[in-house]
Amino acid sequence: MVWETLQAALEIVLTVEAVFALFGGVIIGTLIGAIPGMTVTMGVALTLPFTFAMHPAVGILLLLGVYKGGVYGGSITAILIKTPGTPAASCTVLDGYPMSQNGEARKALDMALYASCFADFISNISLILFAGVLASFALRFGPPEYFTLIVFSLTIIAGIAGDNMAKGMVSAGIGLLLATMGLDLVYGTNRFVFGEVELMAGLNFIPVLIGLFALPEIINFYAKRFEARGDIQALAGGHATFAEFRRCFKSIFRGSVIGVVLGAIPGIGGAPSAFLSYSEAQRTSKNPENFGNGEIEGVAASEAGNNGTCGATLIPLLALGVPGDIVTAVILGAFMIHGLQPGPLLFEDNLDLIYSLFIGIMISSVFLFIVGKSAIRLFSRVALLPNQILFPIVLVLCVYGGYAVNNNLFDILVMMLIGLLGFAMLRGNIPAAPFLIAYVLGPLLEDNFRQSLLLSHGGLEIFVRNEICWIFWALTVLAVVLIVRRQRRWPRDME
Amino acid sequence: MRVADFSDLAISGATIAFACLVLFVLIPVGVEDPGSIDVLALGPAFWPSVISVFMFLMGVILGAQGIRRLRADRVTAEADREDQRSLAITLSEYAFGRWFGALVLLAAFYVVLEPLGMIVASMLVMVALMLLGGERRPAILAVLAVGLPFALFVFFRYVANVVIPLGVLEPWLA
Repeated sequence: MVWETLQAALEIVLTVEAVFALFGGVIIGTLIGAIPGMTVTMGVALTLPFTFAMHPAVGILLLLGVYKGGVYGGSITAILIKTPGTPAASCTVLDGYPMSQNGEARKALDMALYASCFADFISNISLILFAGVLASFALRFGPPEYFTLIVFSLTIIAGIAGDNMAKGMVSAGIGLLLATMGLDLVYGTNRFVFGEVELMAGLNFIPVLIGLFALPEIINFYAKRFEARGDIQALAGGHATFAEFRRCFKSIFRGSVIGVVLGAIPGIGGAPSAFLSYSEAQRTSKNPENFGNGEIEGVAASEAGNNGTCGATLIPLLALGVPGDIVTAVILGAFMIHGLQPGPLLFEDNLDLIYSLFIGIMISSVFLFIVGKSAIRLFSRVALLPNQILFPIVLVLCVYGGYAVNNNLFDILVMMLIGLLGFAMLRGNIPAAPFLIAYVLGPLLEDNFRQSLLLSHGGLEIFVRNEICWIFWALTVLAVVLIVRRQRRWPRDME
Repeated sequence: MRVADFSDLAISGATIAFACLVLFVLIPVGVEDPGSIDVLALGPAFWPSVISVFMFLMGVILGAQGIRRLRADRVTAEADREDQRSLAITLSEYAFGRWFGALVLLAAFYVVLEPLGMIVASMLVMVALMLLGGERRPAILAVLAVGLPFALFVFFRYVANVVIPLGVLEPWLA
């Protein structure tokens, strides 16, 4: 049985289409990650419409390729021009850019790649080993257990709210409120539809996502004076040697484990993982004073911590159907578009798909190495594409992508209006990420809450009915405490 | 130096106003009452009401933070410089013109999408936005503005099977 499923999975993955999708995804992701201002979330969202006509496994592998490539790609501009392509690469700036200034850009880029690929590999192995165990555990889940799980997942909002928690919560509130639009699932009555047929199904996820992340950056570009972009540092210096890799191996391995653990917990994500890995590397180093001045171990530790989350964030997604971060929330949308619901049932009904994803992500680590190694120079050139050219291209991509979801111009209007809202939030320093997480998890939260109350005829005791509920309540409290502590410590770590 | 503080208060005010609007106007008008509801929490208006109250409270907290900052009057020199930079950006007529121009172009883009078609509208908005952004090289403008919309049309139409609105190009490309 297992062998037959594995064979079926191999037949999906080892096709020209799947290999091209995965390889292309890694290239696209690395490219997007290497362009300042373009986030991995944006890259995955822009790629999503291209997957509609593909086999579900091929489409999802394309997105995973973009995800993994994007997380690595963010380090390129972080090292070369002190501009992290992704938030998760911000820690790489600390030692990567000083290395560039010291004429060791190539060495830093090499080490970032080696650490990224190794951590990615460890993360993928962890996904394969632990996702199945979690999936069988998740079969015990009913509405109250899911409700408590989603409450726990919503702690991600506190983690990504930035330095002003209240603004993050306002952002989450807007997301939760917009998610209530459309038909009420319990009574079948309209909510905030106002006679508009297009609104009966609620606002589509993809136009909201594109509008929230891509358009505000475009509008904001035109609201600023022309800015001179930093000169890219010459790719000078020698390559990273095996001896240097061996010297950094302890930090890389530790960073990978940190990435796996934090990545598997919904709400923590790549950036905190990178900072934790970095601070541990510095704490245990014989030369802690070198950190921040161009220490190659600092680059290795931060990239390992960052990329170690990549496979692990898929554990809650595949096993429980709960996104671990913003990107996996988009990937969750991709599953849904293809009529698949990640979670325990996926392991029963579509095991060949699960196996094909496992095989695909293992291959993606190899592709990541090939793409990163051979194209560092090329990507750093593309990263210099002027914004006056880049943003109109992104806008047209957004419009085509937004339209393609439902073949509906109304979605483009939604995208533009959400873009304006996103721009206002950007200018008001209100983080957009809590909005997105709340928008994705809001309907799940409400549905499971109401289903639980239906089961208990209104009794609240159902939310503490077994040990699973208690565990998630305890984890929620623990996560909130950790997030509060981290917010207090982070500024000190950054200094 | 008080720009940031007042912006916090403005966001607070907007949040409170929005929460009240939802709670007292949009929910009564926009959420249909299904009739008999056994448990209040099961009603369609319950969840939006809870969120609105939550937003109201967050607005109050933001307002309190803003007032506390105004009173504290402890702004570092770095924050001063930051505020001056943001003030410079906010008040720059040149930047405002570009920003307003971009918004007008976006609105016009949406309006002409159906009559002109996605390809032609994309071409026009690309040229206009690149010019607005400062790009002046005719070859770049022409190649990108023509090439990208056509390439996307070919992909979406023939690979993804998405019917793209063609507008004025309908007779030739349909």
